[in-house]
Amino acid sequence: MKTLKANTRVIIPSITFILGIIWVVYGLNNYGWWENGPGSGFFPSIIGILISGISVIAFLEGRKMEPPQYIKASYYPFLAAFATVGMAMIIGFFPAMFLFLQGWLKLYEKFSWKKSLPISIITTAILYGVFAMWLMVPFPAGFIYNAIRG
Amino acid sequence: MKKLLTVLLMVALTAGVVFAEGQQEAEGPWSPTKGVEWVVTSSAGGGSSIFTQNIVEIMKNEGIVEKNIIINYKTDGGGAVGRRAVSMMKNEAHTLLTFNSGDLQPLVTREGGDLDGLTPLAVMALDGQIILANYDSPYADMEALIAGLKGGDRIIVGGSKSDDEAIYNAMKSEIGGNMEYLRSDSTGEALTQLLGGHVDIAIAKPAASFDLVSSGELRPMVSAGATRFADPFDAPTFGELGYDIEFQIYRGVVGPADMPEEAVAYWSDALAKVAATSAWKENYINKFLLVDHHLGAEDAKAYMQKFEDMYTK
Amino acid sequence: METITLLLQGFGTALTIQNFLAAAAGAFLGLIVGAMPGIGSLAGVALLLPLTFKFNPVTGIIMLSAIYYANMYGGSYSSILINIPGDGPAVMTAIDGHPMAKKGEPGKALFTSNLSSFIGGTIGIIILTITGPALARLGLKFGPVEMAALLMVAMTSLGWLLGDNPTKGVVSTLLGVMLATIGFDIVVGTPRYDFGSLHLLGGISFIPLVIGMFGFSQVMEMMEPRKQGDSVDMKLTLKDSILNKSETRRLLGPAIRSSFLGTIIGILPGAGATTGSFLGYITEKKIGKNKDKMGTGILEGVAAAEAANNSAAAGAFAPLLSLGIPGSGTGAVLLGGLLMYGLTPGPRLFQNEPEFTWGLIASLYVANVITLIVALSIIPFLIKILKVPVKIMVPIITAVCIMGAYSASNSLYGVMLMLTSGFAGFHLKKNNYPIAPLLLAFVLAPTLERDFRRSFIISDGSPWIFFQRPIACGLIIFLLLTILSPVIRKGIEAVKKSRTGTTAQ
Repeated sequence: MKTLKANTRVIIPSITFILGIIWVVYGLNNYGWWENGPGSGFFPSIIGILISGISVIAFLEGRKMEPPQYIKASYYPFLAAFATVGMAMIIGFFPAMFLFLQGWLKLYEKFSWKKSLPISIITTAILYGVFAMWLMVPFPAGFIYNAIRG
Repeated sequence: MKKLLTVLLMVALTAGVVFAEGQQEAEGPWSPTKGVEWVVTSSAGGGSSIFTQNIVEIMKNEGIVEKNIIINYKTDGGGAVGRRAVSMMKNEAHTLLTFNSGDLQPLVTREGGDLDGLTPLAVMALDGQIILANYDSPYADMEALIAGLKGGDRIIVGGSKSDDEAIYNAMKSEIGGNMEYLRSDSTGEALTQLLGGHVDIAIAKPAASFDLVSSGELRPMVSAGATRFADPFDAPTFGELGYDIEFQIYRGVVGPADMPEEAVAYWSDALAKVAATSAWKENYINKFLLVDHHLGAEDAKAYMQKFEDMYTK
Repeated sequence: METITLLLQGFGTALTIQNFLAAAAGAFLGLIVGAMPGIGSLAGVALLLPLTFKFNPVTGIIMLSAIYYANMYGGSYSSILINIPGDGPAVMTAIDGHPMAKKGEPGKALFTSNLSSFIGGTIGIIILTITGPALARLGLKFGPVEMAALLMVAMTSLGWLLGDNPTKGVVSTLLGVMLATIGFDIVVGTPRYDFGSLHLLGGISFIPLVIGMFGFSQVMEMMEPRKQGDSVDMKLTLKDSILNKSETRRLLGPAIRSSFLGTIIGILPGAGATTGSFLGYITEKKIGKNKDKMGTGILEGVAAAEAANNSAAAGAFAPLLSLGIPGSGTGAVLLGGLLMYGLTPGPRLFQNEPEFTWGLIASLYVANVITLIVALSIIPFLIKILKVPVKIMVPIITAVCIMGAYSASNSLYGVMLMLTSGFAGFHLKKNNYPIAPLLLAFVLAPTLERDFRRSFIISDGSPWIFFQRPIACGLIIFLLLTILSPVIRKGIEAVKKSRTGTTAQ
């Protein structure tokens, strides 16, 4: 099992600390603190200060703790989903969805064609039926289709 | 792999251009060659959605447009994303956008866009605004309220976040006094505040407040339009009270800036046909208390331009 | 008395075979749409509304109410079965509902959810019937000042959800508040924290955020080698889904308490079903019999959340019918539907069209019963979903997450937001940061901030306004007491101890 090393126990508080500082700086400089009542930046600045402060505590606590284990496989769905979105823009939403399902079952889970094809065809068909035909959500048809249809 | 994709894409694009041109040469007057996408930048069920649904229905029922029209609600970024997407389209004849004064205002004031990015196709109707007070308000009419303001009373004005604010700003500069605006997400929310006595007066559209006014819950104080409304909204205009405040908001339709001329002519004509039907007048204009006021593409452009100038100055 | 006669007449008109079938069809379609993540009750009702126009007004309205109820029911299905809440109110259902399903009690979780929804809906409608327009008047008393005070009380209660590590719970909550500040600031009418992005200008959309944080992060977790006993291998039958006597008794208390609370929350302008289900749940966590086990997968949690959520939806009908003011987006769509039938909700509705109005209220009862029957009968099919092997579930849930995120605003940006939230949610969960407080803070904080600042506009900058309004003042005193009570208790204990100490000496 391939594992990844990154101590997210300290990375997460660091990110929230920085976000908090950004919120405070923008809140105080750009959005107004108090104009006859709390201004646009009042609330976010307070929240920013609080989260930065507590992030410091979380950081110190996190340093003492064993970092959680990550494995590479966890990120595969994430990457595959991005690839699917990219594909959707070119070949259209549902073909991309079908390719994703089929590709995943065949290449990652190593299912046989006989087992994987029905699953991906039926899933795509149900999703298409419910979302596109019945609920009439307009999905992108992709560059290629658009180009051909003018 | 990347190269292969690029090549494929190029082939497809070229093929598309060739096809598209071929189709255009073949026919006389242009008409849609595929399904039409109609973008609405606020959520389903709201004013823009009712407006668009009515037009689409009439286009279908009366056979004005043969092809299928799909309404696409693009609400990201408060509608900014949908407006931007439509204005960026190149050589696009099959995309329409519902575009009211309430959409134009954020476009020019916040999103850095302007009317040059769009092709106005029609103004379909005008909507007036009325200023209302609760039935037990201490101010009998607008003159009493103005007298109160001059006497140092603090008046909280409720209204929605888009069109209504322009009226408040005009009131603030023309009448002056200790006034403050309580912005709401919708007219409904502003009316709730007024009914609960949390604001002193509220700016609303007649359609949204019809039953509350006719039952006497709320009282009309002053009309923001050029003329008085019919009963039960009968109240003096700002002009009658001696103030130079006059507002009307429009409901219109636009296409992308780069819409082919033939398509502009087609849509302008189709929308004119819709505006002339009795279904439009009965089921939309009369039902929602709007002012029947149709303008074709050219006039609509000039009309919307006036609004843009007002928002940018 | 006249009311009851009119109501009975209403039942007379409502109970026909045709209406029954229309309601059943509406319930079935509504359940399916409601169960789709990304299609909440707003989109569901809007999309299915045109279907009802084919019928006469009474049938159409019965079908419409069935669709509305069924949408609310359906929202809890995906929360319980795959831990993806379809909309805001369902977040609270997932907290106990999904652990129940994991423990091998998915049928019971669904049954509890449906039955409590039914109780919530029924109590909500009964209150609506008895009090009618008067209740809506009471709701109007809640302006910005009162709402701000109420939400302050609600926000301090978030502490009950923070979990084992309070530091991380607070970070999560604050992160939710921060994300919610992005976009258009309604009080001053200008954008903030948009960093020049058009997408951020309108704020972060909730549905892709929820789908990502709950659903997609879960897919990433599923990729890890499975612990034993994680999958549901046991036999799942309808018989196991039916609650036994003692379970039904456990359900009733929380469900009824939550229903009353939820109805009141529903009537308040701008509070909504999410606030309702949240307050229902935390009330149970504070005063319930099994409060210590809340969050581990017990039916009280599901019952409290679902009953409150549905009664809040019923309560929201009060301002809609008697004032003609929709309390939510879904209300606006329903209002549109009623207008289409020539019915104008407003102060004169109960006087001018009593038959129609009471017919509508009777339809709500009928629709609620039919929806319950339809919902219960599909439980056996639903629990089969859990038997699908994880290997197949991973790509399918991923596909559903993408579809749902896209459909929320018809844009690929929604999908990107969903994936980013999924990525963030996965790492937060791995480090024991709780997700539910983040999402609840995201929903509640904007209303709190908005009404808090509006209060200052009304008072011309004076904070004393919170003590000048009776309702707000009462809430603030309650708030101060809850915050100070541990301190006071400790103080008393310390005094007692020192006393016993001195006497011992």
